[in-house]
Amino acid sequence: MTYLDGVPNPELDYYGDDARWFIGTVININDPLQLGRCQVRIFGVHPDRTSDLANSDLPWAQTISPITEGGSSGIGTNLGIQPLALVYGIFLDGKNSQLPLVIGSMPKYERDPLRLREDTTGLVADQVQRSNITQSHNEDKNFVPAPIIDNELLVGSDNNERAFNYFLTSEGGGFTPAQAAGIIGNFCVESFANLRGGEISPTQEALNGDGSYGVAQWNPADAAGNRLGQLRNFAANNNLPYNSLYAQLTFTTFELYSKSWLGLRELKASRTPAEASKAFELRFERPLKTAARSEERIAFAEENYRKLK
Amino acid sequence: MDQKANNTKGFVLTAVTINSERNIVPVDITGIVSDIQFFEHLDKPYITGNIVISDSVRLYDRLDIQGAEEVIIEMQMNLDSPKVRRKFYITKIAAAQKTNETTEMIALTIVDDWFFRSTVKNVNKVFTGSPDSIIEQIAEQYLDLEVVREGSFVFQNEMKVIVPNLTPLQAIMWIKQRATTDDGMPFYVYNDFITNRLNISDVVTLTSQVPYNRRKPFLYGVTDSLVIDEKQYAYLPIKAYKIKDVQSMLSLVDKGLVSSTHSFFHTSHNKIRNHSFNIQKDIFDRIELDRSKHYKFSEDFKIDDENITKLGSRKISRISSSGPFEIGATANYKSYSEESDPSDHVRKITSRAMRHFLIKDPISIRVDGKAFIRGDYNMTIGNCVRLLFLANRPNTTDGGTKLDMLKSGDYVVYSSKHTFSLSRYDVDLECVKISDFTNEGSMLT
Repeated sequence: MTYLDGVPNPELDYYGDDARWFIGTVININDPLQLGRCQVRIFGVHPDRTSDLANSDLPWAQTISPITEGGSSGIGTNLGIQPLALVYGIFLDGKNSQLPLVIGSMPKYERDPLRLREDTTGLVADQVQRSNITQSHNEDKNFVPAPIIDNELLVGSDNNERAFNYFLTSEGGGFTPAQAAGIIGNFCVESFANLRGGEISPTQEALNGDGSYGVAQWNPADAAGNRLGQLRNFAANNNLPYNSLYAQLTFTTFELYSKSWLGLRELKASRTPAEASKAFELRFERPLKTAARSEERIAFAEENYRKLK
Repeated sequence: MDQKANNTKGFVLTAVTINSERNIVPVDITGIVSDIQFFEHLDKPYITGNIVISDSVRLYDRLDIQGAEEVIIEMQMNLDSPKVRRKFYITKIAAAQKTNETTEMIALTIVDDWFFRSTVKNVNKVFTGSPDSIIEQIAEQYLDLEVVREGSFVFQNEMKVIVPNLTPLQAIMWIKQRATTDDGMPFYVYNDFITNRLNISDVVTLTSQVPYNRRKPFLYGVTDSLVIDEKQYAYLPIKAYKIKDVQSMLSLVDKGLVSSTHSFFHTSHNKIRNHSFNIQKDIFDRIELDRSKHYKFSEDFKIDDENITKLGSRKISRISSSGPFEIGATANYKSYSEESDPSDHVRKITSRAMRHFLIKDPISIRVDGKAFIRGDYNMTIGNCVRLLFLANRPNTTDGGTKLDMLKSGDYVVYSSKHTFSLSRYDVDLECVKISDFTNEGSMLT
């Protein structure tokens, strides 16, 4: 009787005899070797938690080009695959599962919140009941509840990881891991992540009662430009509940790219989590000097960078 | 089994208790145990066993064994020696049979604590380091297990692996397959009955040991005394031996372990490394296996006038890597099957061939178990023992050999079975030969 039958065999006589296929999500397409490779988090083989497998530790998967491309002598076009694409492939080493090869992408539900609402009517009612979701900040009951939106549209095991992964995507602004960590470091301080073991919260209300709200504590005061009102309008225009993390992350990217004074240039120029944290603090968050807690923002940024990069 | 009264059997069974969350207190079954067996194996990092109990106290009925109960076994060589205490888990009731109106014999299958804990855990995580350091990380993080490394350094260094949903012991065995010495010799990861730890050792270290019983070897033969050249030698008797399914050269040839051509393809570098493997040239001529002259390959094995070590009987093609962790000129990790230098792939072939050749001609012996339960020292798997066999027709008239020189020699214990019964304690050792001797004198010094 042998108890360890499931140990993968690295000694196959012919490499093709033990093929194993997979489905995964593209996390990064910036191949440092410029071979058209992409980093893929593979469903069922790679852990969901970045603490067990950081994005930077994901294997670089080779990709298949169509036969209409040259395939040799550097002839061919750039690959068009994008982060968060759902891909299908095989492991070149079978059950050892270390050498992924992406064969193609799978067209998928493209995360239109309107359609999501239509398709999940029954699910929504059920999940609202089960998860006791607060609707106090979700005035339009027709929106799909925030937790469902976030689960559907973001990738990660907690809010920090979801935000981190989002900011790496082209939709999220194509920031580097250090820059994404710098933003999250600010969100940690703004949304009082200390209260939740370091996790940012899109439903955090201001503790001082000034009405600020969300991961960035957008302020409703007209003197400050009523950025909370702008968040609510932006979310409503995109059929999103503004208390969802996804709405707040997309609004952050929207603000950065549409309002140059919020410091996109400085953020993009930063190279370390500390530099990014400082840039985001000074230009985007603009806290009172007495309540800035800059060192804490940097510490959170560096901690999240270590965990999530 | 009333063990405490005397120790004529060579062991004292101090306690056997069954415990589970469902029992209020542990149940002591020492008195009704009739047989215990343990199995150790050089290629398995865990111990399995059987317990047979003679149930006349409605134990089966009252305990309601469901197959995950804890069994603690304590024994010692004698009442003054250190105790061996191991925790096992029941994996199943193998059989239950009535022997009379009031008694039922129940056979339980058990596995050691580590194996049980390993089975209920899943490893799905990234690890970096040399294979032996990754094994240590897994053993420590998931099993809280001490790892003892002996002998040569592992050649492979700085690799990165993502363990693809394996139990901790499966993951350890998976990683172990990638570890070789600088010469390509394989490593073994094993656990023995006495010491509560995981041992990592390479084949050269195992085969280089001096037999611990060289002053008093195990001897098979009907004789009152072993006298050679008018000198009397002490020995311990081998009760029985068995040779079965050995020297299967055709099987080794069939696996490509004698002669084969290998290709290792790096898909992102578009490079193929080819190697024509010849066991004589690649292993036996190249690697110094210390005092062992046992490994050799006759030049006389020919097919169609060609030595079979040159026939290339199998073509083996593998993908060595696609560079999944290659990110530039520096800071690269090797993946599981990758090597820094293409020529290093030869170690994989050597390791595989050596693992199979080591067990090409095993012999099983049964000896008295006295002195095997020493509480502090493993006497079985991974150790070197000297075995002597009297020749079937000793040549005594002209001062010739009394010993069977083919079977006699030094062996490494590859697996073992400890059998504790009501009347005695026997140990069955499956041994693999590591050295031949040219004369009797050298075996008796």
